[in-house]
Amino acid sequence: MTSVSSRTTLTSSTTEPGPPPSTGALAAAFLTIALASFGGGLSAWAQRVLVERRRWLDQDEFLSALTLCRLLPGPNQVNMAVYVGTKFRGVPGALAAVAGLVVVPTAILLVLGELYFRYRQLPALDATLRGAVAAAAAMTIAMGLKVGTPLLRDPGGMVLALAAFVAVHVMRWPLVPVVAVLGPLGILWAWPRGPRAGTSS
Amino acid sequence: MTENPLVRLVILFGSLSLVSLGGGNTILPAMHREAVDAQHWLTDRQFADLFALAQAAPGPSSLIVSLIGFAAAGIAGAAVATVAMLLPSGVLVYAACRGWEHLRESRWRPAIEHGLAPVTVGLVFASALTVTQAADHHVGAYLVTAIATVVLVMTRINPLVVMAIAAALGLLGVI
Repeated sequence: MTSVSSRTTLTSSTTEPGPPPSTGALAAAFLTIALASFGGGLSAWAQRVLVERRRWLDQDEFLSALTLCRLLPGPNQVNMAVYVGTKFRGVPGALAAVAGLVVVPTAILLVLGELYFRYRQLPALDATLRGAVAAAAAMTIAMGLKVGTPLLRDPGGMVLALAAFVAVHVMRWPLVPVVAVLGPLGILWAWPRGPRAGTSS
Repeated sequence: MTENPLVRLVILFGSLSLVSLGGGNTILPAMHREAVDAQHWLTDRQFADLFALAQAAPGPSSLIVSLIGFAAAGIAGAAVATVAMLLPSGVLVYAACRGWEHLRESRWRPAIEHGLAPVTVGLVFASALTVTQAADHHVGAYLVTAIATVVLVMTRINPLVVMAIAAALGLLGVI
């Protein structure tokens, strides 16, 4: 593992990462994301591990990949694992990342499922998870605040973010048409400023 | 048609895999219809409980398919259901990623990335509020979410510590 400073500033798009991670490192990273996400908050953990700690993706690449992964069929974090695995190591990388994300959690889930079918309920687990779920919700809000801060200096981006939020959360419009409209507007907004602009500048 | 639950699992999840657009919750009704109403692998109550379990347990919540497979045909059912669910969409996403990598040198790629990033920020907030409203049923839970958010934003405490404290509060019945 390369040593990484503990600073959690925004990544710069100019820093080119070192050698691509091994399949083992990909599996380990996605296993970490999966295990940390009890109660939920997978995307927030993915951001923390992939962008802040390992620096495999810069902030904009991670955020856009997150939405692209939601637009494609399949569970979005599994899709993110396929994306990151493919990016660095092709098919073996994708398989390693997905295995890291699902194998151990599936085993844990089956043990819990067996306990559930045997005892009909899981009272202590239920109570513990209620607490974890409340904190996992905080993880996602905190991630939103963190990745949203650069938009304070980007009025167009701010409008796009606000429009996406209102369309999906307030109006309850489905994701695909919302992104089909706002995505091209965002691309138009980002286009004239070239590759160095955006939330990571 | 066939009585073999493993075959049924492959047909069910293999076909649902490619239509689970915009997050797995879109296919939940179809899973419920097959697992509860048609095949009687689970009762209505069990389906709801297992859904909550898959949401809260580590890993993607779509792993509820493993639990449905488990209920239908044990460990083999869990494995078959999980692979049937992940493989078709995985292959499609892999092809899409390959295409996306080809755009690496193109001017389109940075424009798409910078243009989609703000949209994603809005979507993240939308998910965050949806999760909060679903998870927090009274003042104590909202308070935990609020305090945890402040701690996570303002300090560098490992989020796992925050999660553990919140889980302990849940166990003690505070939430």
